[in-house]
Amino acid sequence: MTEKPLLQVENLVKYFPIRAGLLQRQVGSIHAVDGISFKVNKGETFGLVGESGCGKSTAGRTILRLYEPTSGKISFDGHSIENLSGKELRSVRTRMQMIFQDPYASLNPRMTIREIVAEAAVDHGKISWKESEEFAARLLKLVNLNPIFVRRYPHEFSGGQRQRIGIARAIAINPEFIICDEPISALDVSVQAQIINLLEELQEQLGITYLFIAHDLAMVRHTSNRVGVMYLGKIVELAECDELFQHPSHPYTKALLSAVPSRKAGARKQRILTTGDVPSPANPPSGCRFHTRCPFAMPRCTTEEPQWREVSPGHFLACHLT
Amino acid sequence: MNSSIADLEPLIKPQKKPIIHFFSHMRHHSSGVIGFIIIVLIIFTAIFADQLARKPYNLKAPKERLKPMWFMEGGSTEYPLGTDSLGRDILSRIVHGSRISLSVGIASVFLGAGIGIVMGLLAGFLGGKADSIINWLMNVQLSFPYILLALFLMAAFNGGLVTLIVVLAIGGWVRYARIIRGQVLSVREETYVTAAQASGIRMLRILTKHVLPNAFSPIIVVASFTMADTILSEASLSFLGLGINPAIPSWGQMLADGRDFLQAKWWICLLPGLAISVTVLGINLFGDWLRDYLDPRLRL
Repeated sequence: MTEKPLLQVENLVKYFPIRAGLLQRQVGSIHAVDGISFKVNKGETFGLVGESGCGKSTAGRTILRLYEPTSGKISFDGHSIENLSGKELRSVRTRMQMIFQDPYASLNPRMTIREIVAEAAVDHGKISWKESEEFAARLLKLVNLNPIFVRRYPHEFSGGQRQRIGIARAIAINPEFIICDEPISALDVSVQAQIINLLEELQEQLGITYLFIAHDLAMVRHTSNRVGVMYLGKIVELAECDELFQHPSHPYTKALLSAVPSRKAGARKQRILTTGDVPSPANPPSGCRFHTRCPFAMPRCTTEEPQWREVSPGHFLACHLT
Repeated sequence: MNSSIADLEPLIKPQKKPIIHFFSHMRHHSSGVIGFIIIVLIIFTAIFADQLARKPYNLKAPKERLKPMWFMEGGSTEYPLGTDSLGRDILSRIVHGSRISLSVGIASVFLGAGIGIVMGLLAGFLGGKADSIINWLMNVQLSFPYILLALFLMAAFNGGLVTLIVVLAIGGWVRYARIIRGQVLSVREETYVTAAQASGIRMLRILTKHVLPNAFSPIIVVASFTMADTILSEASLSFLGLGINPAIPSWGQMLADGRDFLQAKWWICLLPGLAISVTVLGINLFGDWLRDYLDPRLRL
């Protein structure tokens, strides 16, 4: 792809300090995101998958600068944003938005839908408070909700409706890039498909780029153009969606994919089973982080960290095996 | 997308003006109505004390000392609620006392809550150094003998009503600050606060629209019972000679005056005490309703 990427992340690191004792001395750190690099091209959907606690949400929030990155570079549309503050950060934030996992927690219970949806536009001076009712009503229509809901409060809505409101809020200030942090995992299966379809429609209409964080592989396969697989703070494999699902190379990716139930009756898949639990991110294993659970681990894996390399065009991998 | 809100207008319920909404909601909640009526009556009394009181509050009638209430033996309708140890009309003094008690109670609670809320918000939301400094201030305030501080301030500023209010507010702000700080610590982790930050909403707006409204409800409850405390604190300060001019009546002071006659002439204490109780009851009922009214989830 010759196009310039919209978002480029290089060696992004986010450690959370662990403090203990009377003086709150730092006794260690949680290696939530430990040097990840990827880029997201304009107009595409980049999927980021991994099990709970692997750092995918932290990665999303660090990219939006909701967490201060420990180190690494984040560049958005060619400008580096990891050191922005104040006014500049505020203006970048109108171009990047986020949709949250829990639609019950992400809407302020004391604000009307009008205030919630139009708040950013009003605060950034794009519209006046008087215009905000019509503004919010239009956005509600855009996400297939009844525009008369503008005067209601969040508690009057169901989970799916709330998530639509969350989406309306995210698209309100015409962002180019939206991070969807598990936007459907808290919803009923029937509603999940509606939300995904809505996100895809909006992408087509408005040309938004998505970073789609999820653990539902089927959904990621359906929505994403390219996918990165995260394990314990690192991206272990990254490829075009079809390539990744058809030719997974990293043992962890294989294990993840083999855990997806098959639709074909009687199709016996070769299950790759991992043993044990995810190690603590406060004290990640040496060498390859996956070696403690990898069925194919070699002695080399325990000592030497595998290089991040391109095994075939567009297919990146960090593993000693291949 | 092109339809304007004008097309939808008939579908949207006409919005009530806030003031009408306020009362129409209250109408269905008796505690709100009762509380509101009590508060309005007392404020009315305070404003029109000069017209309502039948006698000057300071008129001493040595011959009429310690008269009982009108229905008791020896009582008369001239002094419906009796007289105190100097022969002053208790009813007139209660009417006049509402001025000091109410203004001291309300003003110092508002001032104390105001200081406490700002401090608590800053401590809870900013954390780090700001939190340490404010916590230190709170601890200094709590460890310093309050009466000593009051003595010093009243002496230094030549004690008047305003000084008294400030002194009482200083005695109370820590309570609010601690509550707000604790609430803010939990509210600031809510996803909707993160969402507002992600949208680049200004901090002042995040604090006032997202954090404070969701941290506020315990303050209403605390403020309404702190008001009773404050009315009584004013009495204690008056008792120590640190209050305002003792010639001007206040409920707390009347309570203190009647103390010596508690066994034989109990009504001298009972009546101002009753006035304080009713006021506090009214404020509590109103506050209770207000808390529900301010929460859209409970506003049915």
